[in-house]
Amino acid sequence: MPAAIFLLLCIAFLRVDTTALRIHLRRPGLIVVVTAWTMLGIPALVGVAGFVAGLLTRSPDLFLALMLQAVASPMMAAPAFAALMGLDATLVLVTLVASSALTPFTAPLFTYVFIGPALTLPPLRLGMKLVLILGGSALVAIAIRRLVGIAAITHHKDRIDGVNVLLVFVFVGAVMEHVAARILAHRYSCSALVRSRSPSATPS
Amino acid sequence: MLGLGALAFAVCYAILGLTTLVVLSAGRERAFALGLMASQRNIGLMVAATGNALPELTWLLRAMPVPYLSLPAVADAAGASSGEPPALGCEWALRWPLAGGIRGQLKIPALGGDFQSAASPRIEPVVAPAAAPARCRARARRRVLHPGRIERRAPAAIVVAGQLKVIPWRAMPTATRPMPDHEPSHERRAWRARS
Repeated sequence: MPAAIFLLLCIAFLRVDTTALRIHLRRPGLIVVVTAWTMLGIPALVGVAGFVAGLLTRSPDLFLALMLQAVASPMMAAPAFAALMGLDATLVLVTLVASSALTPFTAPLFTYVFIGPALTLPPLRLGMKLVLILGGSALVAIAIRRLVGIAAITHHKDRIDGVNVLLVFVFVGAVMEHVAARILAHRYSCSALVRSRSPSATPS
Repeated sequence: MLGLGALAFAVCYAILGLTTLVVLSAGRERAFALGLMASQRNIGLMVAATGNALPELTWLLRAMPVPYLSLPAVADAAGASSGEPPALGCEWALRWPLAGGIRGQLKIPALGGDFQSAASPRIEPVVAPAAAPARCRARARRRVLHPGRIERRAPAAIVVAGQLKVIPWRAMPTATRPMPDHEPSHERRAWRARS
């Protein structure tokens, strides 16, 4: 799965519009505020909320999941989602790149402060891995852009999309590994839920 | 399982709402776009970085991407979405089933994100056939190529094919006599030397 993530990130970085990045970076006020909020404010808020709620002692696994979600960089497909909704995708893209650059530094810090020994991976090693994944994929993408050129990337857009879909399939398959077993274990409650939400069961 | 799903939704919407409020001064649409970005986290990156160090419950929460799929509907309900398909210069189209305001075909490059460029930071909506800019373009073309401008009269209501005449162009083709400033450089130099 790490290979699939690495390749997905490569494809995402391959398509980053560098001209748009430069245009937005001329007025970085809003981007700095949002990046700080996304990468510092939200993890701190989630960490404090979990700590106050006593999740660290009551359900450390759940707290670990919430903290990992809070310290992660935004999804690489977020600009595409924004574009689908007719929102400012370029601003989202620039903030996303800035947040991704900060992730290797903020994620180990917050995991060390809030999670501590609940995560068996040492924070420094987590940071190094994030640097390798994010930095490596960005470097590979830059090298491909230099070697192949933007025109060729645009020309082979559909093929790249196809590879992207296959990689997402591999990734989702790996992430959903435990879900099927859980659904089978609770098949009666799950089927009742599906039946209750089906159109025929919903009153018109 | 249901509790985890509800928690995933709650966290996603809480981050979306808080971020939108924090940057609301930047404008409603931009604030919502940034809130959308902040609420969608790269699960895969953290899973790849932590490897097998995650317990099962954490894996289960990671496998809850459903809240993200409901965000377009939320955008539409909140009125933050323009409701118009964006112009992304792409070739293929898909339908976005959840967003009420985006019912038509959208032309997108890929969910991976190949965006319009750059010269304009704001992605402009696709111009529908009946939209104003298209009409303007059509009107401009009609103005330029209207028969009244070329033939100095209104177009004939009835055309009798047998009475049509072929009038040859009096201008010489550019292959034998090029347009001014389009002739070869050695001819231009010779002409200048003579004059």
